[in-house]
Amino acid sequence: MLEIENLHVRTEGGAQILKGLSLSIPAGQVHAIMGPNGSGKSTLSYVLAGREGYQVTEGSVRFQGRDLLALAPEERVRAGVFLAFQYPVEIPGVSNAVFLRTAVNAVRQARGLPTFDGAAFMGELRRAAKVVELPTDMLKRDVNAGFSGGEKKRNEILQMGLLDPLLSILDETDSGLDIDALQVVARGINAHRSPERSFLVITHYQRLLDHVQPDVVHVLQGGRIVKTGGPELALELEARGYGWVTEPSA
Amino acid sequence: MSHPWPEVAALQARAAAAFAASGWPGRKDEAFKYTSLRAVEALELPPAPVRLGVRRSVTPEIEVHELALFQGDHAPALAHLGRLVPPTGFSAQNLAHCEPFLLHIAAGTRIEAPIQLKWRMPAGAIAHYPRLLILAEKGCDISVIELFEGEGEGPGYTHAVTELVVGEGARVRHCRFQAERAGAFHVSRLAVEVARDGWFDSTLLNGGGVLGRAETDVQLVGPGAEAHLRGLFAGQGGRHLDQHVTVAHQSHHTTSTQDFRGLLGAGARGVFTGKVHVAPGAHHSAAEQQNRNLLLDPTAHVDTRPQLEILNDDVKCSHGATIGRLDEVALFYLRSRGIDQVEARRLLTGAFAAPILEALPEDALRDRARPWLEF
Repeated sequence: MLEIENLHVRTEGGAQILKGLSLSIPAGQVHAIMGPNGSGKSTLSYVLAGREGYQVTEGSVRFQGRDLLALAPEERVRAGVFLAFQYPVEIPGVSNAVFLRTAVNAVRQARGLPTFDGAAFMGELRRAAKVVELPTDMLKRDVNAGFSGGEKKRNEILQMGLLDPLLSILDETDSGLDIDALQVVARGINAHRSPERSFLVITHYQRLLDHVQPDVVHVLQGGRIVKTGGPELALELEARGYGWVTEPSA
Repeated sequence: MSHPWPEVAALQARAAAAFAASGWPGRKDEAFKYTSLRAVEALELPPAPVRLGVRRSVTPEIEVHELALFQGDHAPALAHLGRLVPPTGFSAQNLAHCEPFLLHIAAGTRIEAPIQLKWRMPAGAIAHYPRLLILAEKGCDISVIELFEGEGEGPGYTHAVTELVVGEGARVRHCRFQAERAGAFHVSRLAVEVARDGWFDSTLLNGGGVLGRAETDVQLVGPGAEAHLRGLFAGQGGRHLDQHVTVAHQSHHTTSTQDFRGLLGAGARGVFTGKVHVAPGAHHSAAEQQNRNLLLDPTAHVDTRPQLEILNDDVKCSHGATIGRLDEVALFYLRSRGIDQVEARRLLTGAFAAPILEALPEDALRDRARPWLEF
């Protein structure tokens, strides 16, 4: 589903962040990327979602055979690539419900699906909000404005549910969550798992992976994948830190 | 042709003389520091009769007349003509050429539906001079919309003056909606006097013409008087939009707020000048003033001058101005959810403008302003 080959990325400031990253995620799998601060985890998620300010100097990213990097951010999510932000953005003045409806209808229209009218969408929204235990009054408030850290992350998972992506990139979705919120978020993710859908879970810690079982765990360090293993790798990293991982994986 | 009423004719003769002496505002005129009217002055547009449309259906109890039609009872209202905007300087140009209209609301009258006055610039290269005097007597409660629009296309000139007297305990909402035709030059001045415990609320939408200059002068003359002013100026493509606001707290326990927002796109220029004056005797007064601007293109420009002049210690005043650009992170966030760039920008400009648009008294006006938010 996702094929990243030899990806080299630098910032507009000139700093080389990703230095030959390769990664392949088949349909239906959950891959975790772990790594220390500054290893390039967030850069990878932003480059995949199409944020400006990054320059791909080498390599390629294919999603279902298409050149993902050639697409505008809105085209990527319409094609099925969703990024849950590490720091969801507050947008005062835009109501969450209007934002979600505009987004969902734009994506549905692009996929050739019928769009929702106001009432039908509210029904859909209530169902999706229940999964992540977001109270409906949160939907009337402005996008993420005044939301707690946990509410923001649940709002991200709500959007993932509504936009129905094939590949979900979760960028440190577990950061800033208490145990209860972590479980809610994990339930939201697990509810979305299916043989067609894949996940790239970017995380610093192992604890989200207790609730969302990965198929493959990668270690990102110095802009490259330096080790790849099964779920047990995450446990080992948790116990021993990142220092012992020095040799690139085969 | 002079006005059939001798009092009005005499006033207009004075005004004509005053304007002949002062002429158009020049570069040295502080109030027009950032706005030049030389281009329209050079056109020497001939005056055309004013066309006022009044939507009567919603307000059968109200009649708007030309002053010339009034007899007897309404004559005392004449004493107010030219009182708040006297026949001096550039403003005299309006009085010299106008046919004054009067909207006289008797004491205690409450009308929920807005009274809509449409000033339509006739087709052709002409100038017109709308003039309105609104007398809102003690305890009345009304809402007035003045809509400026035009027929045809090409250059034209509006110089409008509205004098508004808000009586004791009266509540008046006023909306000025500047949607002149593309080639038009628009200059308007709204001068308001608010008596004891009077309440005045004003919404300005400034988005039409090639040049739109909207002055607002408010005098809070009685204790307990309040004025709440807000405005949105939005434009691109060489449009010049200037808001010039003066609020004078002349009495104690008076309150004023200002919230003016500018959205400026390619080649547009915005100006905000806001003066709050608190007189020596105006203790226990409160004034807030905010001007926020979003520049949506590197070629957009805004000059903002918020000013406080406080001659009294016992007051609460604050003011501020900001100039920013569209939040790129918010834009990316919206796009990453499938919303295309145009719609994402519209959502963000809409959010910026929302507090002003929500204050408009009618959906039809909001719909009309909506295209102004597209950049």
